[in-house]
Amino acid sequence: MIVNDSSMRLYVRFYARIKEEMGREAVNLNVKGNAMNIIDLLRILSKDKKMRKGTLIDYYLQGKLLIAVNEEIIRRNEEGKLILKDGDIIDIMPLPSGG
Amino acid sequence: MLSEGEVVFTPEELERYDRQIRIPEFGIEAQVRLKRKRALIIGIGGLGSIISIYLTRAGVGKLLLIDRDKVSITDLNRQILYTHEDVGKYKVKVAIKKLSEMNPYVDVDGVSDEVNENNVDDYVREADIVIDGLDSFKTRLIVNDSCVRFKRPFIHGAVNGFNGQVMTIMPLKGPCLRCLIPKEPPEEKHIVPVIGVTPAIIGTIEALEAIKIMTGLGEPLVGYLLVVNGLHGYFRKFKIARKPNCPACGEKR
Repeated sequence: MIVNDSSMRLYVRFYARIKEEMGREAVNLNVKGNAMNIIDLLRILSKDKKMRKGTLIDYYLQGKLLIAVNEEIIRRNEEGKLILKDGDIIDIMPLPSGG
Repeated sequence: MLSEGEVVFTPEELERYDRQIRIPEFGIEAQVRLKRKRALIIGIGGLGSIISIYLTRAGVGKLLLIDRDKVSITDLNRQILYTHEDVGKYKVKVAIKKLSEMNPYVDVDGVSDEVNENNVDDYVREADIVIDGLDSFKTRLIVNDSCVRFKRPFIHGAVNGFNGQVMTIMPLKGPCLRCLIPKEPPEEKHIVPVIGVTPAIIGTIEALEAIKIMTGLGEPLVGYLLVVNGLHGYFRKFKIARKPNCPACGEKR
């Protein structure tokens, strides 16, 4: 008998304005299942907390965030391909534009 | 007079650079290389003020500045090239005067212009290195694409509040700005808030990167995004991979 009770732990850190809006520096997530990508993660975090102007997923789709997994920036449009695994550290940062 | 190739230094000039020539890794060789280079700074606001001041004092050969704006009083909390009396004057005009006073041995020139798809190549082609003092990703990507076309090193920097980032682009050797940001995010509808220390930190790192590239010293931030968080006091380096299907530097470009 195969019991699928796999769950994984993800550590998500928020930066700058995102941290202020999320109201915390980081979150430890215990997620059931094992085929989750960045977009799925952003959806979960978006449910958790409404931001001032839309949700995290809105911000991301508008190109206002940079996301890194284990200190490597995830290429845009390729978020779906990267399957998160147990122990991953995810950094969610706003994209600064000023000069 | 000390001469190496076509580069000639007066004794006074050597004295001016004495303290950096004494750095063992730097020496007269790096000073000569610096003097041979033409650096282009696009945007001379918060970042550009800092970048231009340090490259001028370090002794780059030629500096070209581009900015369309006039000095506004709201610039003065961070754009340290300008003072109260400069409000209303063209930034480029003020900058040329002040930088030339800082170091008469640097050939400082500038154009009051807006960089766009039509003129970017004319500016980038003439430069050995291009440094980002811009405030919009639309223009940054236009400059990035031109730097890739002409294989010119491009130092990217951007700021917001107490935060900022730096990335050094060596076209075709590492990722370009479009590998990170394929297309521009929507134009910032609100005024970007910023305190002077942030562009000072980010601009200084950009100037350092430019000096490293121009002299061939050290390991530039190629393939990395350096993220600075001023309020919480950390610098963090993230890896960036080159994107094989990047519209600017990818295989099918």
